[in-house]
Amino acid sequence: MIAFRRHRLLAVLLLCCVLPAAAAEVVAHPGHADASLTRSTLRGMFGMRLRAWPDGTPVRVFVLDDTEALHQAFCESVLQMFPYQLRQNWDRLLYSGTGQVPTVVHSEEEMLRRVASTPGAIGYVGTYSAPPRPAPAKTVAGKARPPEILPAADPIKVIHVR
Amino acid sequence: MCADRRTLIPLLLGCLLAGTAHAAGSDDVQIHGFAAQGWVQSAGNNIYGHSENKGGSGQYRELGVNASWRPFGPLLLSAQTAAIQEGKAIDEDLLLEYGLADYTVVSGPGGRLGARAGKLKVPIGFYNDSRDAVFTRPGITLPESLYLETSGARAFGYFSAQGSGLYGDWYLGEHAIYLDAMYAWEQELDDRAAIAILRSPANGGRFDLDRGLIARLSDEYGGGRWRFALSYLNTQLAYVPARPPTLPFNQPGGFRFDQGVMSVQYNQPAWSLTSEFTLRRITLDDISVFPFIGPLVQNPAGWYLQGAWRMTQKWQWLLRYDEQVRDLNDRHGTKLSAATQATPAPLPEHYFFARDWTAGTRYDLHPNVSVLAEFHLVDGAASVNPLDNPSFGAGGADRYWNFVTVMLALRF
Repeated sequence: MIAFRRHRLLAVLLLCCVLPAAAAEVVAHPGHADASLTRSTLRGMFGMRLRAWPDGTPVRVFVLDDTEALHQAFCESVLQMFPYQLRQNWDRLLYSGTGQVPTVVHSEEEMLRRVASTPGAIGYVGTYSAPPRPAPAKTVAGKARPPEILPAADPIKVIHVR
Repeated sequence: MCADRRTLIPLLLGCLLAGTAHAAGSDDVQIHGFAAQGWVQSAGNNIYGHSENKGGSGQYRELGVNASWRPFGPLLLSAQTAAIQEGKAIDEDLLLEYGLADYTVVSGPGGRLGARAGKLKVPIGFYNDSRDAVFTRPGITLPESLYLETSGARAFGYFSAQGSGLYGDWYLGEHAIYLDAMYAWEQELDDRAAIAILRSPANGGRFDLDRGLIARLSDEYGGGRWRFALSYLNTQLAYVPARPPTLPFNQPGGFRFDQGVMSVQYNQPAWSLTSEFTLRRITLDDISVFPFIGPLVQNPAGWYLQGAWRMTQKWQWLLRYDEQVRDLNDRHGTKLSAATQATPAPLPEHYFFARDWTAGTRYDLHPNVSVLAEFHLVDGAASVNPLDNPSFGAGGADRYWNFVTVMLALRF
Protein backbone atom coordinates (compact mmCIF):
# COMPACT_ATOMS: atom_id res chain seq x y z
CA MET A 1 0.00 0.00 0.00
CA ILE A 2 1.53 3.25 -1.07
CA ALA A 3 0.93 6.22 1.24
CA PHE A 4 -0.39 9.51 -0.05
CA ARG A 5 2.12 12.37 0.39
CA ARG A 6 0.63 15.78 -0.27
CA HIS A 7 3.89 17.72 -0.62
CA ARG A 8 5.30 15.42 -3.30
CA LEU A 9 2.05 15.52 -5.20
CA LEU A 10 2.15 19.29 -5.13
CA ALA A 11 5.68 19.32 -6.57
CA VAL A 12 4.62 17.06 -9.39
CA LEU A 13 1.49 19.08 -10.10
CA LEU A 14 3.53 22.29 -10.27
CA LEU A 15 5.89 20.62 -12.71
CA CYS A 16 2.95 19.75 -14.91
CA CYS A 17 1.53 23.28 -14.76
CA VAL A 18 4.60 25.01 -16.16
CA LEU A 19 5.04 22.58 -19.04
CA PRO A 20 3.12 22.56 -22.30
CA ALA A 21 0.52 19.83 -22.71
CA ALA A 22 1.76 16.69 -24.50
CA ALA A 23 -0.15 13.82 -26.17
CA ALA A 24 1.77 11.38 -23.96
CA GLU A 25 4.23 11.64 -21.11
CA VAL A 26 6.87 9.25 -19.88
CA VAL A 27 6.47 7.96 -16.35
CA ALA A 28 8.92 5.96 -14.30
CA HIS A 29 9.33 4.41 -10.87
CA PRO A 30 10.42 7.07 -8.35
CA GLY A 31 13.63 5.15 -7.67
CA HIS A 32 15.22 7.08 -10.53
CA ALA A 33 16.05 10.65 -9.96
CA ASP A 34 16.80 11.57 -13.57
CA ALA A 35 14.64 14.52 -14.38
CA SER A 36 14.98 14.09 -18.06
CA LEU A 37 16.26 11.65 -20.63
CA THR A 38 17.20 12.34 -24.23
CA ARG A 39 15.03 11.05 -27.02
CA SER A 40 17.82 8.79 -28.24
CA THR A 41 18.18 7.20 -24.78
CA LEU A 42 14.41 6.71 -24.59
CA ARG A 43 14.46 5.05 -28.00
CA GLY A 44 17.16 2.73 -26.66
CA MET A 45 15.08 1.92 -23.56
CA PHE A 46 11.70 1.48 -25.23
CA GLY A 47 13.46 -0.29 -28.09
CA MET A 48 14.53 -2.93 -25.53
CA ARG A 49 18.22 -2.45 -26.25
CA LEU A 50 19.26 -0.26 -23.32
CA ARG A 51 18.46 -2.55 -20.45
CA ALA A 52 19.85 -0.69 -17.46
CA TRP A 53 19.48 2.69 -15.77
CA PRO A 54 22.76 4.54 -15.03
CA ASP A 55 22.77 3.05 -11.52
CA GLY A 56 22.53 -0.48 -12.95
CA THR A 57 18.86 -1.11 -12.10
CA PRO A 58 17.30 -3.17 -14.88
CA VAL A 59 14.89 -1.20 -17.07
CA ARG A 60 11.37 -2.68 -17.00
CA VAL A 61 9.38 -1.40 -19.95
CA PHE A 62 5.60 -1.27 -19.92
CA VAL A 63 3.57 -0.45 -23.01
CA LEU A 64 -0.02 -0.55 -24.21
CA ASP A 65 -1.13 -2.71 -27.11
CA ASP A 66 0.07 -1.62 -30.56
CA THR A 67 -3.47 -0.72 -31.60
CA GLU A 68 -4.12 1.66 -28.67
CA ALA A 69 -4.31 5.33 -29.65
CA LEU A 70 -2.19 6.34 -26.65
CA HIS A 71 0.59 3.94 -27.70
CA GLN A 72 0.62 5.44 -31.17
CA ALA A 73 0.55 8.97 -29.77
CA PHE A 74 3.48 8.10 -27.49
CA CYS A 75 5.51 6.69 -30.40
CA GLU A 76 4.83 9.68 -32.59
CA SER A 77 5.09 12.52 -30.09
CA VAL A 78 7.71 11.30 -27.60
CA LEU A 79 9.87 8.75 -29.41
CA GLN A 80 9.16 10.35 -32.77
CA MET A 81 9.15 7.04 -34.56
CA PHE A 82 6.47 5.03 -36.33
CA PRO A 83 4.66 2.46 -34.15
CA TYR A 84 5.25 -0.31 -36.68
CA GLN A 85 9.01 0.41 -36.53
CA LEU A 86 9.02 -0.10 -32.78
CA ARG A 87 7.21 -3.41 -33.17
CA GLN A 88 9.60 -4.53 -35.91
CA ASN A 89 12.57 -3.61 -33.70
CA TRP A 90 11.18 -5.70 -30.83
CA ASP A 91 10.51 -8.65 -33.14
CA ARG A 92 14.01 -8.48 -34.60
CA LEU A 93 15.51 -8.78 -31.12
CA LEU A 94 13.08 -11.47 -30.01
CA TYR A 95 13.48 -13.76 -33.02
CA SER A 96 17.25 -13.43 -33.11
CA GLY A 97 17.59 -14.32 -29.43
CA THR A 98 19.25 -11.01 -28.61
CA GLY A 99 16.46 -9.33 -26.69
CA GLN A 100 13.02 -9.56 -25.14
CA VAL A 101 9.76 -7.70 -25.68
CA PRO A 102 8.16 -5.21 -23.25
CA THR A 103 5.31 -6.06 -20.87
CA VAL A 104 1.94 -5.15 -22.35
CA VAL A 105 -0.64 -3.60 -20.01
CA HIS A 106 -4.28 -3.11 -20.83
CA SER A 107 -5.16 0.30 -19.45
CA GLU A 108 -3.60 3.49 -18.20
CA GLU A 109 -4.66 2.56 -14.67
CA GLU A 110 -2.79 -0.71 -14.93
CA MET A 111 0.18 1.17 -16.42
CA LEU A 112 0.31 3.52 -13.42
CA ARG A 113 -0.06 0.69 -10.95
CA ARG A 114 2.66 -1.47 -12.53
CA VAL A 115 5.11 1.39 -12.98
CA ALA A 116 4.58 2.57 -9.40
CA SER A 117 5.24 -0.85 -7.99
CA THR A 118 8.09 -2.12 -10.18
CA PRO A 119 11.64 -0.88 -9.50
CA GLY A 120 13.26 0.30 -12.71
CA ALA A 121 9.93 0.62 -14.49
CA ILE A 122 9.29 3.03 -17.32
CA GLY A 123 6.09 3.59 -19.26
CA TYR A 124 3.81 6.33 -20.51
CA VAL A 125 0.46 7.92 -19.80
CA GLY A 126 -1.83 10.30 -21.64
CA THR A 127 -1.95 13.18 -19.24
CA TYR A 128 -0.65 13.04 -15.69
CA SER A 129 -3.52 13.53 -13.31
CA ALA A 130 -3.48 13.49 -9.54
CA PRO A 131 -5.52 10.80 -7.90
CA PRO A 132 -8.76 12.02 -6.32
CA ARG A 133 -8.76 12.57 -2.57
CA PRO A 134 -9.43 9.43 -0.54
CA ALA A 135 -13.17 8.81 -0.20
CA PRO A 136 -14.64 9.57 3.24
CA ALA A 137 -15.27 6.64 5.51
CA LYS A 138 -18.49 4.87 4.72
CA THR A 139 -20.72 3.24 7.20
CA VAL A 140 -22.50 0.03 6.50
CA ALA A 141 -25.06 -1.08 8.98
CA GLY A 142 -23.53 1.18 11.62
CA LYS A 143 -19.96 -0.08 11.23
CA ALA A 144 -17.27 2.34 10.01
CA ARG A 145 -15.06 1.28 7.12
CA PRO A 146 -11.57 2.69 6.73
CA PRO A 147 -11.19 5.27 3.91
CA GLU A 148 -10.23 3.74 0.54
CA ILE A 149 -6.68 4.33 -0.54
CA LEU A 150 -7.05 4.74 -4.29
CA PRO A 151 -4.34 3.55 -6.70
CA ALA A 152 -1.70 6.11 -5.96
CA ALA A 153 -0.01 7.99 -8.79
CA ASP A 154 1.90 10.06 -6.29
CA PRO A 155 5.18 8.10 -6.26
CA ILE A 156 5.58 8.18 -10.05
CA LYS A 157 8.21 10.50 -11.39
CA VAL A 158 7.22 12.22 -14.59
CA ILE A 159 10.13 12.31 -16.94
CA HIS A 160 10.27 14.93 -19.63
CA VAL A 161 12.23 14.35 -22.78
CA ARG A 162 15.15 16.73 -23.43
CA MET B 1 13.96 -37.16 -40.34
CA CYS B 2 15.23 -37.72 -36.80
CA ALA B 3 17.28 -35.12 -34.99
CA ASP B 4 20.90 -36.23 -34.79
CA ARG B 5 23.22 -35.79 -31.84
CA ARG B 6 24.54 -32.46 -33.09
CA THR B 7 21.14 -30.86 -32.82
CA LEU B 8 19.76 -33.00 -30.00
CA ILE B 9 22.20 -31.90 -27.30
CA PRO B 10 21.78 -28.14 -27.83
CA LEU B 11 18.05 -28.71 -28.21
CA LEU B 12 17.88 -30.48 -24.87
CA LEU B 13 19.86 -27.62 -23.36
CA GLY B 14 17.36 -25.19 -24.81
CA CYS B 15 14.45 -27.09 -23.29
CA LEU B 16 16.29 -27.33 -19.97
CA LEU B 17 16.79 -23.59 -20.03
CA ALA B 18 13.11 -22.96 -20.63
CA GLY B 19 12.10 -25.43 -17.96
CA THR B 20 14.51 -24.07 -15.36
CA ALA B 21 13.50 -20.51 -16.02
CA HIS B 22 9.85 -21.37 -15.81
CA ALA B 23 10.37 -23.28 -12.59
CA ALA B 24 12.24 -20.31 -11.14
CA GLY B 25 9.00 -18.37 -11.55
CA SER B 26 10.86 -15.35 -12.76
CA ASP B 27 9.13 -12.42 -14.46
CA ASP B 28 12.13 -12.21 -16.71
CA VAL B 29 11.18 -15.36 -18.56
CA GLN B 30 9.51 -15.02 -21.92
CA ILE B 31 8.25 -17.77 -24.17
CA HIS B 32 7.13 -17.01 -27.69
CA GLY B 33 6.69 -18.85 -30.92
CA PHE B 34 5.19 -19.09 -34.33
CA ALA B 35 3.45 -21.58 -36.55
CA ALA B 36 2.86 -21.22 -40.27
CA GLN B 37 1.49 -23.52 -42.91
CA GLY B 38 2.04 -22.68 -46.56
CA TRP B 39 0.88 -24.03 -49.86
CA VAL B 40 2.57 -23.55 -53.23
CA GLN B 41 1.49 -24.11 -56.82
CA SER B 42 4.06 -23.60 -59.56
CA ALA B 43 4.46 -23.95 -63.29
CA GLY B 44 7.86 -24.75 -64.80
CA ASN B 45 9.97 -25.81 -61.81
CA ASN B 46 9.26 -27.24 -58.36
CA ILE B 47 9.70 -25.20 -55.23
CA TYR B 48 8.99 -26.25 -51.63
CA GLY B 49 8.06 -29.76 -52.74
CA HIS B 50 6.25 -31.11 -55.80
CA SER B 51 4.58 -27.79 -56.45
CA GLU B 52 4.18 -28.42 -60.17
CA ASN B 53 1.78 -31.27 -59.44
CA LYS B 54 -1.94 -30.64 -59.70
CA GLY B 55 -2.92 -29.55 -56.21
CA GLY B 56 0.44 -28.00 -55.50
CA SER B 57 2.58 -28.70 -52.45
CA GLY B 58 1.75 -28.33 -48.79
CA GLN B 59 5.28 -29.35 -47.75
CA TYR B 60 5.90 -25.86 -46.54
CA ARG B 61 5.67 -25.20 -42.82
CA GLU B 62 7.50 -23.43 -40.05
CA LEU B 63 7.00 -24.12 -36.36
CA GLY B 64 9.17 -22.49 -33.74
CA VAL B 65 9.29 -21.95 -30.01
CA ASN B 66 11.73 -19.68 -28.24
CA ALA B 67 12.48 -19.01 -24.61
CA SER B 68 14.52 -16.22 -23.10
CA TRP B 69 15.54 -15.64 -19.50
CA ARG B 70 17.28 -12.73 -17.89
CA PRO B 71 18.52 -14.24 -14.61
CA PHE B 72 20.15 -10.93 -13.68
CA GLY B 73 20.51 -7.54 -15.38
CA PRO B 74 23.32 -7.87 -17.91
CA LEU B 75 22.86 -11.57 -18.76
CA LEU B 76 20.34 -12.93 -21.26
CA LEU B 77 19.97 -16.64 -22.07
CA SER B 78 17.87 -17.57 -25.08
CA ALA B 79 17.16 -20.47 -27.38
CA GLN B 80 14.83 -21.23 -30.25
CA THR B 81 13.97 -24.61 -31.65
CA ALA B 82 12.07 -25.11 -34.87
CA ALA B 83 10.65 -27.65 -37.23
CA ILE B 84 10.96 -26.42 -40.79
CA GLN B 85 9.94 -28.05 -43.99
CA GLU B 86 10.40 -26.67 -47.48
CA GLY B 87 9.94 -29.65 -49.74
CA LYS B 88 13.08 -31.79 -49.83
CA ALA B 89 15.34 -28.75 -49.66
CA ILE B 90 14.77 -28.35 -45.93
CA ASP B 91 13.26 -31.17 -43.95
CA GLU B 92 14.15 -30.61 -40.33
CA ASP B 93 11.93 -32.16 -37.69
CA LEU B 94 13.73 -30.43 -34.90
CA LEU B 95 16.64 -28.10 -35.10
CA LEU B 96 18.21 -25.55 -32.81
CA GLU B 97 18.05 -22.23 -34.62
CA TYR B 98 19.87 -20.39 -31.89
CA GLY B 99 20.99 -21.02 -28.31
CA LEU B 100 23.14 -18.38 -26.70
CA ALA B 101 24.30 -16.43 -23.70
CA ASP B 102 24.44 -12.66 -24.15
CA TYR B 103 26.27 -10.48 -21.62
CA THR B 104 26.20 -6.67 -21.70
CA VAL B 105 29.56 -5.55 -20.37
CA VAL B 106 29.05 -1.80 -20.47
CA SER B 107 25.77 0.11 -20.58
CA GLY B 108 24.92 3.80 -20.33
CA PRO B 109 22.57 6.46 -21.70
CA GLY B 110 24.80 6.77 -24.76
CA GLY B 111 24.97 3.10 -25.69
CA ARG B 112 26.21 -0.32 -24.68
CA LEU B 113 28.83 -2.98 -25.44
CA GLY B 114 28.52 -6.71 -24.99
CA ALA B 115 29.48 -10.21 -26.00
CA ARG B 116 27.62 -13.37 -27.02
CA ALA B 117 28.44 -17.04 -27.46
CA GLY B 118 26.63 -20.16 -28.54
CA LYS B 119 24.72 -20.81 -31.71
CA LEU B 120 24.18 -17.30 -33.01
CA LYS B 121 22.01 -15.89 -35.79
CA VAL B 122 24.24 -14.54 -38.53
CA PRO B 123 23.90 -10.75 -38.91
CA ILE B 124 23.55 -10.00 -42.61
CA GLY B 125 21.45 -7.22 -44.11
CA PHE B 126 18.06 -6.27 -42.73
CA TYR B 127 16.36 -9.63 -42.42
CA ASN B 128 18.83 -12.48 -41.92
CA ASP B 129 19.04 -12.66 -38.17
CA SER B 130 15.31 -12.79 -37.51
CA ARG B 131 14.17 -14.49 -40.72
CA ASP B 132 12.67 -17.65 -39.24
CA ALA B 133 9.38 -16.06 -38.22
CA VAL B 134 7.32 -14.91 -41.18
CA PHE B 135 6.13 -11.92 -39.14
CA THR B 136 9.62 -10.46 -39.35
CA ARG B 137 9.90 -10.90 -43.12
CA PRO B 138 8.46 -8.47 -45.65
CA GLY B 139 6.29 -11.28 -47.06
CA ILE B 140 6.23 -15.05 -47.29
CA THR B 141 9.59 -15.22 -49.07
CA LEU B 142 12.77 -13.25 -48.66
CA PRO B 143 14.64 -11.87 -51.69
CA GLU B 144 16.55 -14.92 -52.86
CA SER B 145 19.51 -12.97 -54.31
CA LEU B 146 20.72 -12.09 -50.81
CA TYR B 147 18.96 -14.47 -48.45
CA LEU B 148 19.54 -17.75 -50.34
CA GLU B 149 16.50 -19.61 -48.99
CA THR B 150 15.88 -22.05 -51.83
CA SER B 151 19.60 -22.18 -52.58
CA GLY B 152 19.97 -24.19 -49.40
CA ALA B 153 22.29 -21.76 -47.62
CA ARG B 154 20.86 -22.75 -44.24
CA ALA B 155 22.94 -25.89 -44.59
CA PHE B 156 26.27 -24.10 -44.70
CA GLY B 157 25.68 -21.86 -41.71
CA TYR B 158 24.37 -18.77 -43.49
CA PHE B 159 21.38 -18.46 -41.15
CA SER B 160 23.02 -19.37 -37.85
CA ALA B 161 26.30 -20.87 -36.74
CA GLN B 162 28.17 -21.76 -33.58
CA GLY B 163 30.51 -19.02 -32.56
CA SER B 164 31.14 -16.00 -30.41
CA GLY B 165 30.27 -12.38 -31.04
CA LEU B 166 30.66 -8.80 -29.94
CA TYR B 167 28.08 -6.05 -30.23
CA GLY B 168 27.85 -2.35 -29.61
CA ASP B 169 25.18 0.38 -29.72
CA TRP B 170 25.87 4.09 -29.90
CA TYR B 171 22.94 6.50 -29.44
CA LEU B 172 24.08 9.77 -31.02
CA GLY B 173 21.22 12.23 -31.37
CA GLU B 174 19.06 11.14 -34.28
CA HIS B 175 21.50 8.34 -35.18
CA ALA B 176 21.42 4.93 -33.53
CA ILE B 177 24.55 3.05 -34.63
CA TYR B 178 24.69 -0.70 -34.15
CA LEU B 179 27.60 -3.06 -34.66
CA ASP B 180 27.19 -6.85 -34.65
CA ALA B 181 30.23 -8.99 -35.23
CA MET B 182 30.74 -12.72 -34.88
CA TYR B 183 33.40 -15.35 -35.35
CA ALA B 184 32.09 -18.77 -36.37
CA TRP B 185 34.46 -21.45 -35.21
CA GLU B 186 35.26 -24.83 -36.75
CA GLN B 187 32.11 -26.97 -37.01
CA GLU B 188 30.57 -29.76 -39.01
CA LEU B 189 27.92 -28.73 -41.49
CA ASP B 190 24.72 -30.36 -42.63
CA ASP B 191 24.99 -32.93 -45.42
CA ARG B 192 23.02 -30.58 -47.65
CA ALA B 193 25.82 -28.00 -47.63
CA ALA B 194 27.53 -29.83 -50.47
CA ILE B 195 24.37 -29.76 -52.57
CA ALA B 196 23.90 -26.05 -51.92
CA ILE B 197 27.48 -25.20 -52.87
CA LEU B 198 28.04 -27.62 -55.76
CA ARG B 199 24.44 -27.45 -57.02
CA SER B 200 24.40 -31.21 -57.41
CA PRO B 201 24.59 -34.20 -55.08
CA ALA B 202 28.21 -34.45 -54.00
CA ASN B 203 28.49 -38.19 -54.30
CA GLY B 204 29.06 -38.65 -50.61
CA GLY B 205 31.55 -35.83 -50.00
CA ARG B 206 30.91 -33.15 -47.40
CA PHE B 207 31.77 -29.56 -46.59
CA ASP B 208 32.68 -28.43 -43.09
CA LEU B 209 33.24 -24.90 -41.81
CA ASP B 210 36.84 -24.00 -40.94
CA ARG B 211 36.09 -20.47 -39.80
CA GLY B 212 33.83 -17.54 -40.53
CA LEU B 213 33.94 -13.82 -39.77
CA ILE B 214 30.75 -11.77 -40.06
CA ALA B 215 30.14 -8.12 -39.23
CA ARG B 216 27.30 -5.66 -39.77
CA LEU B 217 27.35 -1.94 -39.09
CA SER B 218 23.99 -0.20 -39.24
CA ASP B 219 22.54 3.24 -38.66
CA GLU B 220 18.91 3.90 -37.82
CA TYR B 221 18.31 7.57 -38.39
CA GLY B 222 15.35 9.49 -37.07
CA GLY B 223 13.95 6.55 -35.16
CA GLY B 224 14.17 4.37 -38.25
CA ARG B 225 12.89 6.75 -40.89
CA TRP B 226 16.11 5.93 -42.72
CA ARG B 227 17.99 2.69 -42.14
CA PHE B 228 21.43 1.89 -43.53
CA ALA B 229 23.59 -1.16 -43.13
CA LEU B 230 26.89 -2.50 -44.37
CA SER B 231 27.47 -6.22 -43.88
CA TYR B 232 30.58 -8.29 -44.52
CA LEU B 233 31.07 -12.04 -44.44
CA ASN B 234 34.25 -14.09 -44.94
CA THR B 235 34.08 -17.85 -44.57
CA GLN B 236 36.37 -20.74 -45.33
CA LEU B 237 34.98 -24.22 -45.79
CA ALA B 238 36.83 -27.51 -46.35
CA TYR B 239 35.69 -30.24 -48.72
CA VAL B 240 36.26 -33.86 -47.77
CA PRO B 241 35.47 -36.37 -50.52
CA ALA B 242 33.68 -39.62 -49.88
CA ARG B 243 35.67 -42.75 -49.03
CA PRO B 244 36.32 -44.26 -51.46
CA PRO B 245 36.22 -41.09 -53.57
CA THR B 246 33.55 -40.98 -56.27
CA LEU B 247 33.41 -38.87 -59.40
CA PRO B 248 33.18 -36.05 -60.12
CA PHE B 249 34.04 -34.54 -56.72
CA ASN B 250 36.79 -36.85 -55.69
CA GLN B 251 39.58 -34.66 -54.28
CA PRO B 252 39.88 -32.71 -51.02
CA GLY B 253 39.75 -28.96 -51.41
CA GLY B 254 38.53 -25.68 -50.03
CA PHE B 255 35.69 -23.26 -50.66
CA ARG B 256 35.96 -19.63 -49.78
CA PHE B 257 32.88 -17.41 -49.70
CA ASP B 258 33.26 -13.64 -49.26
CA GLN B 259 30.30 -11.29 -49.32
CA GLY B 260 29.62 -7.59 -48.94
CA VAL B 261 26.10 -6.15 -48.62
CA MET B 262 24.86 -2.60 -48.75
CA SER B 263 21.35 -2.04 -47.41
CA VAL B 264 19.11 1.02 -47.37
CA GLN B 265 15.51 1.54 -46.32
CA TYR B 266 13.24 4.58 -46.23
CA ASN B 267 10.10 4.44 -44.11
CA GLN B 268 6.96 6.53 -44.01
CA PRO B 269 3.78 5.81 -42.03
CA ALA B 270 2.01 4.15 -44.95
CA TRP B 271 4.85 2.90 -47.13
CA SER B 272 8.46 1.79 -47.19
CA LEU B 273 11.15 1.36 -49.83
CA THR B 274 13.96 -1.14 -49.32
CA SER B 275 16.95 -2.03 -51.42
CA GLU B 276 19.90 -4.31 -50.74
CA PHE B 277 22.86 -4.97 -53.00
CA THR B 278 25.31 -7.81 -52.59
CA LEU B 279 28.65 -8.70 -54.16
CA ARG B 280 30.29 -12.04 -53.54
CA ARG B 281 33.55 -13.71 -54.40
CA ILE B 282 33.59 -17.48 -54.32
CA THR B 283 36.70 -19.57 -54.81
CA LEU B 284 36.53 -23.32 -55.14
CA ASP B 285 39.82 -25.20 -55.10
CA ASP B 286 40.53 -28.43 -56.97
CA ILE B 287 37.87 -30.83 -55.79
CA SER B 288 37.43 -32.61 -59.11
CA VAL B 289 39.56 -34.13 -61.84
CA PHE B 290 37.36 -32.42 -64.38
CA PRO B 291 38.32 -28.90 -65.47
CA PHE B 292 35.69 -26.14 -65.01
CA ILE B 293 34.30 -27.93 -61.96
CA GLY B 294 37.32 -26.89 -59.90
CA PRO B 295 39.28 -24.67 -59.54
CA LEU B 296 36.70 -21.98 -59.89
CA VAL B 297 36.54 -18.28 -59.13
CA GLN B 298 33.24 -16.47 -59.52
CA ASN B 299 31.84 -13.10 -58.60
CA PRO B 300 28.13 -13.60 -57.95
CA ALA B 301 26.02 -10.54 -57.33
CA GLY B 302 22.47 -9.68 -56.52
CA TRP B 303 20.21 -6.81 -55.75
CA TYR B 304 16.57 -6.10 -55.09
CA LEU B 305 14.16 -3.18 -54.85
CA GLN B 306 11.07 -3.64 -52.71
CA GLY B 307 8.10 -1.39 -52.04
CA ALA B 308 5.63 -2.01 -49.23
CA TRP B 309 2.31 -0.22 -48.81
CA ARG B 310 0.40 -0.37 -45.55
CA MET B 311 -3.06 0.21 -46.98
CA THR B 312 -4.68 -0.07 -43.54
CA GLN B 313 -3.35 -1.13 -40.15
CA LYS B 314 -4.34 -4.71 -40.99
CA TRP B 315 -3.69 -4.93 -44.73
CA GLN B 316 -0.43 -4.41 -46.58
CA TRP B 317 0.92 -4.95 -50.05
CA LEU B 318 4.34 -5.76 -51.45
CA LEU B 319 6.01 -5.34 -54.83
CA ARG B 320 9.57 -6.47 -55.46
CA TYR B 321 12.13 -7.00 -58.21
CA ASP B 322 14.98 -9.30 -57.27
CA GLU B 323 17.91 -10.17 -59.54
CA GLN B 324 20.89 -12.44 -59.04
CA VAL B 325 23.72 -13.49 -61.33
CA ARG B 326 26.31 -16.21 -60.80
CA ASP B 327 29.05 -14.00 -62.13
CA LEU B 328 28.92 -10.22 -62.46
CA ASN B 329 31.20 -10.49 -65.48
CA ASP B 330 28.68 -12.76 -67.20
CA ARG B 331 25.18 -11.46 -66.48
CA HIS B 332 23.50 -13.58 -69.15
CA GLY B 333 25.34 -16.78 -68.24
CA THR B 334 26.89 -17.13 -71.69
CA LYS B 335 30.49 -17.77 -70.62
CA LEU B 336 29.56 -19.98 -67.69
CA SER B 337 27.29 -22.10 -69.85
CA ALA B 338 29.99 -22.44 -72.51
CA ALA B 339 32.48 -23.58 -69.85
CA THR B 340 30.21 -26.45 -68.81
CA GLN B 341 29.73 -27.84 -72.31
CA ALA B 342 32.90 -29.93 -72.09
CA THR B 343 31.91 -31.44 -68.74
CA PRO B 344 29.70 -34.45 -68.03
CA ALA B 345 26.96 -32.00 -67.03
CA PRO B 346 26.52 -29.25 -69.64
CA LEU B 347 24.20 -26.51 -68.39
CA PRO B 348 22.13 -23.89 -70.25
CA GLU B 349 22.69 -20.15 -69.85
CA HIS B 350 19.59 -19.57 -67.74
CA TYR B 351 21.08 -21.62 -64.90
CA PHE B 352 23.34 -18.67 -64.10
CA PHE B 353 20.85 -15.91 -63.39
CA ALA B 354 17.38 -15.34 -61.96
CA ARG B 355 15.09 -12.34 -62.20
CA ASP B 356 12.05 -12.49 -59.96
CA TRP B 357 9.05 -10.18 -60.00
CA THR B 358 7.03 -10.59 -56.82
CA ALA B 359 3.64 -9.22 -55.79
CA GLY B 360 2.29 -10.05 -52.36
CA THR B 361 -0.23 -9.15 -49.72
CA ARG B 362 -0.73 -9.75 -46.01
CA TYR B 363 -3.92 -9.40 -43.98
CA ASP B 364 -3.94 -9.53 -40.18
CA LEU B 365 -7.06 -11.38 -39.14
CA HIS B 366 -6.00 -10.80 -35.55
CA PRO B 367 -2.84 -9.21 -34.07
CA ASN B 368 -1.42 -12.74 -33.79
CA VAL B 369 -2.88 -14.33 -36.92
CA SER B 370 -2.10 -13.36 -40.50
CA VAL B 371 -2.85 -14.69 -43.93
CA LEU B 372 -0.34 -13.98 -46.69
CA ALA B 373 -0.23 -14.55 -50.44
CA GLU B 374 2.47 -14.03 -53.05
CA PHE B 375 2.88 -14.43 -56.78
CA HIS B 376 6.31 -14.79 -58.41
CA LEU B 377 7.20 -14.47 -62.07
CA VAL B 378 10.74 -15.76 -62.60
CA ASP B 379 13.18 -15.65 -65.51
CA GLY B 380 16.14 -17.92 -64.78
CA ALA B 381 16.92 -21.05 -62.79
CA ALA B 382 19.71 -19.85 -60.50
CA SER B 383 17.47 -20.19 -57.43
CA VAL B 384 16.02 -23.61 -58.27
CA ASN B 385 16.85 -26.27 -55.69
CA PRO B 386 18.20 -29.57 -57.09
CA LEU B 387 16.56 -31.60 -54.32
CA ASP B 388 13.06 -30.64 -55.44
CA ASN B 389 13.98 -30.86 -59.13
CA PRO B 390 15.65 -34.17 -60.01
CA SER B 391 16.25 -33.11 -63.61
CA PHE B 392 18.22 -30.04 -62.49
CA GLY B 393 21.62 -31.70 -62.72
CA ALA B 394 20.95 -32.77 -66.30
CA GLY B 395 20.05 -29.27 -67.39
CA GLY B 396 16.29 -29.85 -67.24
CA ALA B 397 15.20 -26.82 -65.17
CA ASP B 398 12.93 -24.40 -67.05
CA ARG B 399 13.98 -20.82 -67.74
CA TYR B 400 10.58 -19.17 -67.38
CA TRP B 401 8.54 -20.27 -64.44
CA ASN B 402 6.14 -18.90 -61.87
CA PHE B 403 4.52 -19.82 -58.59
CA VAL B 404 1.81 -18.69 -56.24
CA THR B 405 2.08 -19.28 -52.52
CA VAL B 406 -0.35 -18.77 -49.66
CA MET B 407 0.42 -18.99 -45.96
CA LEU B 408 -1.53 -18.92 -42.71
CA ALA B 409 0.63 -17.80 -39.83
CA LEU B 410 0.17 -17.34 -36.13
CA ARG B 411 2.41 -16.16 -33.34
CA PHE B 412 2.25 -16.26 -29.55
